Amino acid sequence: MLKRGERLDGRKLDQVREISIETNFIEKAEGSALVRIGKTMVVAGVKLSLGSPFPDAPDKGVIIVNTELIPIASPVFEPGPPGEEDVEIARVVDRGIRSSNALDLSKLSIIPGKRCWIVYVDIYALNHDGNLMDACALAAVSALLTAKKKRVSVEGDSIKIVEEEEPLPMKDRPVFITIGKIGDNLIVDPNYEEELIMDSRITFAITEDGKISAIQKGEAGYLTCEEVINASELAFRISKEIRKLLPALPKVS
Amino acid sequence: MGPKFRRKLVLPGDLVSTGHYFMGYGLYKVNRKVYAKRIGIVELSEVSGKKVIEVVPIKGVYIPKEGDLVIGKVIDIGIGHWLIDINSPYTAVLPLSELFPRPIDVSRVDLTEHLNVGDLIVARVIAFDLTRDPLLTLKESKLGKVTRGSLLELTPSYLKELIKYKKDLVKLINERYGCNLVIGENGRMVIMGKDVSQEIEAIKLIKSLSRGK
Amino acid sequence: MEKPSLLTPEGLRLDGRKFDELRPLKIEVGILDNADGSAYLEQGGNKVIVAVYGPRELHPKHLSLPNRALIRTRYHMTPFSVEERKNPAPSRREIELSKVIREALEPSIFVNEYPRTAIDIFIEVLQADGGTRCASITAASVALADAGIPLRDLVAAVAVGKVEGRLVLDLNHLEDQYGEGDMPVAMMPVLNAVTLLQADGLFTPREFKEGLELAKKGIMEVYKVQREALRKRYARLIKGARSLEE
Repeated sequence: MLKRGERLDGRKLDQVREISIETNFIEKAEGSALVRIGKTMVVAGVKLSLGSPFPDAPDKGVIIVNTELIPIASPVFEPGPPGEEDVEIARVVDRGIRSSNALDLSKLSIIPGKRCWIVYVDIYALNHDGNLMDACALAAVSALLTAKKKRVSVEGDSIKIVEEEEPLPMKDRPVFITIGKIGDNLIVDPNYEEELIMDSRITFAITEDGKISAIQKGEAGYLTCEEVINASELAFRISKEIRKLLPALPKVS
Repeated sequence: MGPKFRRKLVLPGDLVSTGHYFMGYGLYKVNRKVYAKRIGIVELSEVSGKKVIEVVPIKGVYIPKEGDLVIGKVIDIGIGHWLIDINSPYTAVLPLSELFPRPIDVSRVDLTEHLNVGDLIVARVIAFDLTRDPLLTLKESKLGKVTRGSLLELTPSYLKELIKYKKDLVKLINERYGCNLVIGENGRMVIMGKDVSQEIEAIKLIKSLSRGK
Repeated sequence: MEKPSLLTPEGLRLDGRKFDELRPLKIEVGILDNADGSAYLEQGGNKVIVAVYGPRELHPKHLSLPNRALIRTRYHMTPFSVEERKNPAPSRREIELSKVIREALEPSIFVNEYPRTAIDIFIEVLQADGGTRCASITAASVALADAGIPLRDLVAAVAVGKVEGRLVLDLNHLEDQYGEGDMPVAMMPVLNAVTLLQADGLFTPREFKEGLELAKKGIMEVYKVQREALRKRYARLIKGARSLEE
């Protein structure tokens, strides 16, 4: 079937499922997003707190991405601490955001060397029908783009939190595209069934100006060099389409 | 085109030939190219008139084949069978019926008196198909419990070389040390002599051959 | 902390290497007696030791796969391997790397030959100097071959990075920490198969393509060292087997 350019669910090889993004629906969180890619559903929440910067980056804020593939989402997920899949998704999403400087950490420092904002992005899978990586990334980026934080004023050593709200300093909107390999075919946005039979997958995180900010090959198969290049070209092209669905970059006041 | 590495050492991924031979053990094919899968020595042989090329591996675990003669060690007693370690990732099963031709009352008979944990047996693999544990039989002459003797373990691939000269080696050990030598396909052999000192000398000789002095 | 300049005015790197030069690489095969296969690797300041056990019986049995071997990999860094003592408990990084290293090696293994068994790969980084996952893959592949496990090919790995706008081969720790990008790649050269590909940092499409080409070049050099190390070790063992005929 794949050779004819058709997939089991009727999609073309380079077709992404229907995407919906809902933001700011959890009032207690500074930012939130509910993302659906086909039947895959993921929720991300952004929470901010004051903390200390890392010693090797004293004038930058901190972002911490966490992902959990909880049993709610699928009979194949067991309760327990984050496993290797959870950790992989969290770290790839973190890298794609961090490397592109999408969240400008230098604008989240409050007192260099002492105090800064810590931005927690927690992503939870709610329904697993394949391609959790892209869904989690979409949710994380959307939540960050629409999050609101309090302003702070600094007087000497004391920090005062002002009620006035402002968006997070976002400078880019990286889009993650995952491509699966089944036989000799490259398919974009594999669903659960396709993931069960695919040999390998590769994810590219692409920035607004077409640069790569993360790559992750996954699963125990391989891709030829040519397939890797072809997959990257697919990712460049499709990321442009998907980015149109993301919330806009917040305006800097 | 002839094999490029005859009798030579090959590594996984080494190109061995481009297609005029039948593929034997230790090789795989991609398009028309045949590559080695293991570290080993390339051998050319003739099987039923066909030229077969194969790689004899230098190292590797023993995977049982139906018909193999093996030397096993009893590791557990189950209900109706013994579990036998045959130096393989697959533990073998020896059913009760192999030792008792007629059905017996398990509650009356103490199985450990017949075959206990730690005992050695010379057996034959009668069934193994990778979905179940290997099945052993003792119903052949020269098979059965080893009542006295010493066990020696060598890598199975090395043993394959030894087996070619099996008859000579058995004769040599018999003549020089008065011991019986049984070579299993599973990397083990048993040396049975009248006393332990002779067995030890025999083992020393075999080990020295394997180290290539 | 001031960022050090990583390239000299002549375009050489801090350790004197050209942009496409590997660090000195040494591999020793079969140094651990208990393991079925083992390898010790040194590359620049990296010191990695790998042990392979298997195929062996899998306990508990319910974890076993009916028609193939289960591959398990543990990548771990010793507490004294880095400048600031690292907590011995597995970090998230070690969890991710254990996964990607396993996925880099598994495509080379003929897993269907050993159903219901386990092949365990244990990697311990004794000293880290950038590119430890690549060093680990390179060493582990040699250890798998040493264990007599059937392989399609060896897997060789190297990391390409971006330092002050230039692509460089085989990043060391400083270049990884202060550079603009890091792209580890692993391949089975015979099949032209990429089994590990990650990236971190910013790469333009062209830099990505050029980076892959540079990685391929480095991988072929690493591959050569792997094969020489195995040949050297096994040539000695064959001499022993040959004498049987005499």
